[in-house]
Amino acid sequence: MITDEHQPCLQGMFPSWLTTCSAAGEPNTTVISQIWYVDEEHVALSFQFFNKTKKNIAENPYAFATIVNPGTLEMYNLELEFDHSETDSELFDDMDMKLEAIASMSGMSGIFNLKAADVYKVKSLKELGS
Amino acid sequence: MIPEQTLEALTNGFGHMGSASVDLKTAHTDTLSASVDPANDTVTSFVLSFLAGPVLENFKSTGRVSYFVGLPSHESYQFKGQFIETRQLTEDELAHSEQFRNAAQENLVGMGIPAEPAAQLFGTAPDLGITFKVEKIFKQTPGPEAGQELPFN
Repeated sequence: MITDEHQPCLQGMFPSWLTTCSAAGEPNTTVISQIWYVDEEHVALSFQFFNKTKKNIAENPYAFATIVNPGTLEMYNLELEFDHSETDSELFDDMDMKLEAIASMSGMSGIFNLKAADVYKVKSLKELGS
Repeated sequence: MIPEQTLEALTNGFGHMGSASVDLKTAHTDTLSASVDPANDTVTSFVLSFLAGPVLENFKSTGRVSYFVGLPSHESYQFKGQFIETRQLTEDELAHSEQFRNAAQENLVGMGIPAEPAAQLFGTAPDLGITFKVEKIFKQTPGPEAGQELPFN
C-alpha cells in the first residue's frame, strides 16, 4: 500500500494533519510534524504527551490523516486504525533518536520525551482528488 | 463573541475542517480561508466541494465540526461546533480567498517549493461555504498553553 512514491511524505519535511474522534463522536483535527513509515501497511505516530489525539485513540481506534510530498505538494489521504504501541524496539529507538536530535537543536533537549511509538494499520491510501 | 485574538488565524491561517461519521470514522478537508460573524459566533469555511464530500456527509449526519487553523508563526486554534448549513460564497468572500491563496502561494515559494505545485494547491477558487456555530475554542499553539480552552461569550 505504501510505496516508494509515498516515502518523501513520511520524512517530516512537511507537516501532516490528523483527525480523530472521541467515543461520543466529537472530532478533533490537528497538525503533526511527522508520520513515520513502519512497513508497507503500517505507519507510526509519536506519543509524547497525553493530548486529545491520544485520549481519542484510546476510546476509538480510527483516524484519518493527510500526508504531503514536500517536492510536488501531492497529497494523500490515509484511513488508519490503531494497532499497538511499542516502547522497546528498533522503531522506538529510531523515533526517539530523531526527536531528541530535533529537541536538542531547538534547545529543548530532555523535555519532549518519547513515551511510545504508536503503530497504526493503513486501511486505505488515496491521492487527494483521485 | 469569538475572541478577536483568533480572527487573524481564522481568516488568514491554514485551515483543516474535521468530521466524524455515526460509526466514528473520521474525515477532513482543507479550507481556503473563512469568514467570521463574531456577533453570532459563526464561521463559514471556504472549501472545494469536489474534495469535501465525505466531510459534508458526516456533517449532515452528526453535525459535529472540528476546525483547526494555524498561521505560519505556529499560532493555532481548534474550534469545536455544530454544523449549520452550506451556501454559495459571496463576492467579498471569494475576493478574500483569492488574497489568501495568493499569499499562501508566495509563502510556499518563499520556502523553496516550486511555483507550479504551489499554484496547483492554491490556484483553484473555493466553490462552497460551510457554516458552523462555534461552541468551544482551544489554543493549539505549541507550548505550555496548548490545549487550554479560551473563554468566550
